[in-house]
Amino acid sequence: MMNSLRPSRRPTPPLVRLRLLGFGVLSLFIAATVFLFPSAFPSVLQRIGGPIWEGSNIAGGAFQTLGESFRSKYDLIQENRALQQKLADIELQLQGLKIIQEENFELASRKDHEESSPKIVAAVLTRPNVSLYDTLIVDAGERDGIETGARAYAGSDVLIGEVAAVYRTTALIKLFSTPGERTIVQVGTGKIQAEAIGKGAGNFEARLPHGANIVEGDDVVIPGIHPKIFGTVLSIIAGPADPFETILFRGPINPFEIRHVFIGE
Amino acid sequence: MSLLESKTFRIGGRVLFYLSIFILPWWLSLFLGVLLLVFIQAYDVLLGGIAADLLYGVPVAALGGISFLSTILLCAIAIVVFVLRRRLFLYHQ
Repeated sequence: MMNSLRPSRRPTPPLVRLRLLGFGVLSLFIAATVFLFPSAFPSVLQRIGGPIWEGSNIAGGAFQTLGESFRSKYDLIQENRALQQKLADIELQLQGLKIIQEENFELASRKDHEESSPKIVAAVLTRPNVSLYDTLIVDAGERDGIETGARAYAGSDVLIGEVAAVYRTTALIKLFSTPGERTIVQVGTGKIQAEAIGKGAGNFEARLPHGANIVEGDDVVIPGIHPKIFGTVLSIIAGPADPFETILFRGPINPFEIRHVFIGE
Repeated sequence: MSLLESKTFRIGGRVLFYLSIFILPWWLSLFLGVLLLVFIQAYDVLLGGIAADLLYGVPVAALGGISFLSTILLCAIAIVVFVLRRRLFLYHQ
């Protein structure tokens, strides 16, 4: 014979009922406030979060410094050698880049268009790993002149997202890699236009017809007079029966490591 | 008095959970929330879910534009805990 535990038939005590009722009323109040005053609770929460995030960033930095001071001499020598090698490689690449930069400057100066609005620099308080969303919270808000819909860059020219909400001292940035988010981009040397679909955590997918001559390592840019870097092609998936190929790419900057962003048009 | 029944554990657990929403990775907050739900039936962790969504939430196009993922996830876990708590050996004295 199989034994199993019977469900308890004890009635719910009055105190528990009262708690449940209180919880229900509170939930209704929150739902009504969120519906009627959508920015009321987020503003309060952002004000509470500001000092906590700043404190945790300072503490994180202090722990990192402490951890580094305990590293062995041998590790440091190894790292020093690796960095010297890397520096030599970068110097070589830089020589090639200088030529391209001069050419680019010359071409850009021929055009009358100039970016009129300066960018605002903001420190990142939270990264996507803190929530289920691909969002960043930065320490610049309404008082710094940030507006909803402004574009966010990592570095000077890498477009990563746009401002979704602005509070007094903070702002919420929605990354373009949010699952399902669609952005028009140009892929490869042929500048083939495609729709980049966010896959989360800085990853994207785009569908292009076969024969588009896209190769791994090709650049993906946001079209415009001054094209903005968007990502680099990582892999191409093409089935023999599929007239399209799926291009997987990711942004040049890892959203989990961003420390500062530039916000502007 | 067992550890789970102590006021310090109940209050401390909640404080840790609400703080975790601001600073810890989401999966750690979720883990803490599930622990609180299972061991002390702290259904108020749902408020933490709402707070997380109000802080970080944006409409996710891949999920029909919903911006209350954490709340939905915690609600689902709370319902499972509520239904199972009277049937599980864990809760029988």
